Amino acid sequence: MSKIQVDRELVRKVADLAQLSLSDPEIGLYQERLSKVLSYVEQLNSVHESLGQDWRPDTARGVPGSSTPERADLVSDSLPVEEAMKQAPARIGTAFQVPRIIE
Amino acid sequence: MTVNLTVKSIVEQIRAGSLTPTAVAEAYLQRTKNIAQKLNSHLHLDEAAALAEAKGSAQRIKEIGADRLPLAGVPILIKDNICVRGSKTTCGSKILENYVATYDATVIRRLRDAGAFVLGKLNMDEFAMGSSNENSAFGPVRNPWNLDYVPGGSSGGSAAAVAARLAPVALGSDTGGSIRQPASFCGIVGLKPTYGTVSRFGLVAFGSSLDQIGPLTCNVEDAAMVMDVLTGLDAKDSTSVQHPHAGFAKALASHSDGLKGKTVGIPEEFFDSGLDPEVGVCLERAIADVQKAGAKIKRVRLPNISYSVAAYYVIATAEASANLARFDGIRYGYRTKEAGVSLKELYRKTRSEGFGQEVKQRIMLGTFVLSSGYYDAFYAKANKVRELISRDFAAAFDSGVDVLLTPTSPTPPFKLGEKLSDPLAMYLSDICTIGVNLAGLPGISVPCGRTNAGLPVGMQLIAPKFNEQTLLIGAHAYERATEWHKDQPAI
Repeated sequence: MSKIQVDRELVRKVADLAQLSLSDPEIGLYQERLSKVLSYVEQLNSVHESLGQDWRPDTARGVPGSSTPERADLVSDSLPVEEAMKQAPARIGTAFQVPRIIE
Repeated sequence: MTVNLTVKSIVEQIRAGSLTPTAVAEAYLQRTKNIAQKLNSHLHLDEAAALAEAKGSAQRIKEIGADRLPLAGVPILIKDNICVRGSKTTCGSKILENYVATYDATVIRRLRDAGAFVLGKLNMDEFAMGSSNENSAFGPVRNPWNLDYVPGGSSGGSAAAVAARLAPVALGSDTGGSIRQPASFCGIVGLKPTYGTVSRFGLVAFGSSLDQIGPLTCNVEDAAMVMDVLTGLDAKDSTSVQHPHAGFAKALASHSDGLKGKTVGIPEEFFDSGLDPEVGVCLERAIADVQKAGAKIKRVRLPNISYSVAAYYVIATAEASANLARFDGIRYGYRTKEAGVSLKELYRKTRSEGFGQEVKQRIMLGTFVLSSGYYDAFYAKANKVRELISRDFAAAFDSGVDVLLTPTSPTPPFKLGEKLSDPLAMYLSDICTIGVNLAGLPGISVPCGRTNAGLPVGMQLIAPKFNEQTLLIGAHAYERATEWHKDQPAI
């Protein structure tokens, strides 16, 4: 893999994907800091590994050697409505009132 | 009463009837008033709530009996990324500055059921991202041994508070060293359990394949007592498992042989030129002490460990970018005050104003390594390296090693501001601890010396998965042979 060039455009693109808006000075700051970290991370390319192209981590098991247990479905109490409503930024009856999220 | 108490001595005095939970709470609250401000260790200290908690502990003791409560009357401080119902849980972030938890984390329920009570909540690096506790939206924590120095991170508030004896135990969380490194910097004991040992239900997620909750205490015996309560299967955390070898305090009491006949592996990679000379001196002396305690020393290799920081900053940031996507200002938490903006702008302004610099940096790193065209080169490769590192550890243990001994941090505590401008220098301060998280192993940091300037140095012991017993027995044997854990900062 060729060396990653972190330019202002790449920082803008990544910020866009990450739902962040950056000021001009921030773009410069992150350009410098991300360049530094990514050029360090690129040393992973020099690791000689024989796991092969087809090897994939088992994402369901978290860390190597673990397994995710199965369990029965059980009925239990849930959070009382009034407790949950304490977190609401605004409310209409027992509903959270939030900004419109479907445009 | 004096506040220089251990978990064990509090439980004994409560059982003997010479101490009450309220008296314990009052004494610690009094000391905290004088010291917490100097350290900036606490984010939420509500005296009335703490005293009500102590009353709850007294009630449980009355109903169930102190003899049946393993942590009867023990006050505990909680890192602020663990939910305590009715209490703010900010994660050290502006984006959650007014978030009040609506439920208790499983660890809180287990501690209360065991007779313990919550004394307050502690400062931390924002979303547990940091190694110096300078990334908190509520200001940095200071090291009680010298206020010009960092306490380590991200559980810096937990380590500083326990070292200053503001509680006999605090909970922390460890994703890449966040319990062990601050424990080392503050001269106390910190244990990161095997992945799956302690439920994370109610822990705000950072790197879900790496995070574990664990205790910070003044000695190994106390860590074992608290681990006995924290450990256990929880249906609310699908990664939690039934620990096959629980009963840690009992194991300590019945294994008086300690390190005799055990083989302690010394990974050469941790003792290279990157190690601070003063830390090196402390570690060489610790190895000699371990040998004197009856252990055999064996030099081993972990060939891929030098890639652990690189692999970690791909995997942990990838997971963080996904976990932190939920903070959007819609249903809870901070929302931008700017009116009349589009939905997209609302998300972006909220997140940009709510997250601090380091968190934004890691979200962007994680977003980048998962993005189209880079996934295989970074994320897939890092996962392969993670597998190789796990195999290196397994090979070392298969070669007859019971525990590995390493420095906890390559340097002693550093000055506030010293590493802030260089992200790599900060990330590399976790080089000795990160591999343990990648492989899901248990690790413990215990004090093993002081620098010429009087700052603490810690050593780390690492054991195979679910061998916390071996870890605690080894650490306890070292502790009995040395005096470092008895040192306290004069604050």
